[in-house]
Amino acid sequence: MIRSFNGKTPKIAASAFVSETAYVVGDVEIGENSSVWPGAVIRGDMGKITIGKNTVIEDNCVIHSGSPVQPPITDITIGDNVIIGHGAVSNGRRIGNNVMVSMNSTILHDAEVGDHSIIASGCIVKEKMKIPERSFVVGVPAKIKGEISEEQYWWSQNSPKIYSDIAQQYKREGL
Amino acid sequence: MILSFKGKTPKIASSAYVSKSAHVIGDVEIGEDCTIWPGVVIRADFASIKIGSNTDIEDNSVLHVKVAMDIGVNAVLGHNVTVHCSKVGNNTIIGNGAIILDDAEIGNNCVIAAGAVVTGGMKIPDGSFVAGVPAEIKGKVSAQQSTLIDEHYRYYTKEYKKFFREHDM
Repeated sequence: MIRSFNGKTPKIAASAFVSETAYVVGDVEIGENSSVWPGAVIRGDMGKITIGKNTVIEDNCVIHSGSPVQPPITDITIGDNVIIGHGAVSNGRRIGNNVMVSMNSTILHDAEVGDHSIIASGCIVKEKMKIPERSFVVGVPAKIKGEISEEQYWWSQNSPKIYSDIAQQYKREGL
Repeated sequence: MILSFKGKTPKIASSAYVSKSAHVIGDVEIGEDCTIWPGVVIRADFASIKIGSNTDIEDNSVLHVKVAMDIGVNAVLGHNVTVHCSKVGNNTIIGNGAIILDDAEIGNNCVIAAGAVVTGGMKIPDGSFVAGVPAEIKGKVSAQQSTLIDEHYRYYTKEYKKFFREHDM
């Protein structure tokens, strides 16, 4: 379901796949070859949400702009080649490129995640936390455990491509 | 989507906003000025679920019960919260992704941190700050935390809810 809000209509690239049971509303931009899976909610009502290319927003994720922090921030960005795993929630201000946010983790308001970082499953990234590039982040609340391994780096480079291929097939089959 | 179950139809106050893509099922009461966002499931099939006025239930949260559930007024349930308990008090905030298990009771003016897992039967007194897996009472809610609820209302104005209600969203 794609809906306008307050005069703003989501701008979705022609090659992107948005499941018909996802809900995308308001000031949202989604780049080429990105995909939004069933049950995901992308709610650009309190500020703009910009999602780059080849990025994957998996099933039942919630991405919401706006923030109760002072001074309030409104717009949020998610970079290119990012995977937001099943059930994850992000109110974060900026998620860099090639980041993996694993299943059911939560990124709270005004947090920033650097390029090539991995946020482990179930992690809670607290408000305003700044995560440098290539960090491996785990726990409740989240702690930086160190740098990502070479194998993790390979995944952050290659898994968005695997996903974008399957998303294109969904699109072709009209799902 | 609002569905009857076993002869019980949700009773939803006229000023409440329930997204078209939320599911509200069975013996549910939703008070004035509540907001129920996309993907939320409120499933009162085994027992009733009552939600007080001005309460906000954010996207993809799930409320389901074995015994009757009572959620107070001015409460906020964040994104992807799972609530399976019997009581959530007034002016209480439950952070994103938190899980509240069976028979737990949460008092008034509490803050449950994002990702906390409140275990079955846990009783949380008024004004508590709760965090962790499993959840522990970490202390009293600070003045700064209690302003979170006030901040919330700045966004969720009556006009804002009216827009969503009237635009079939």
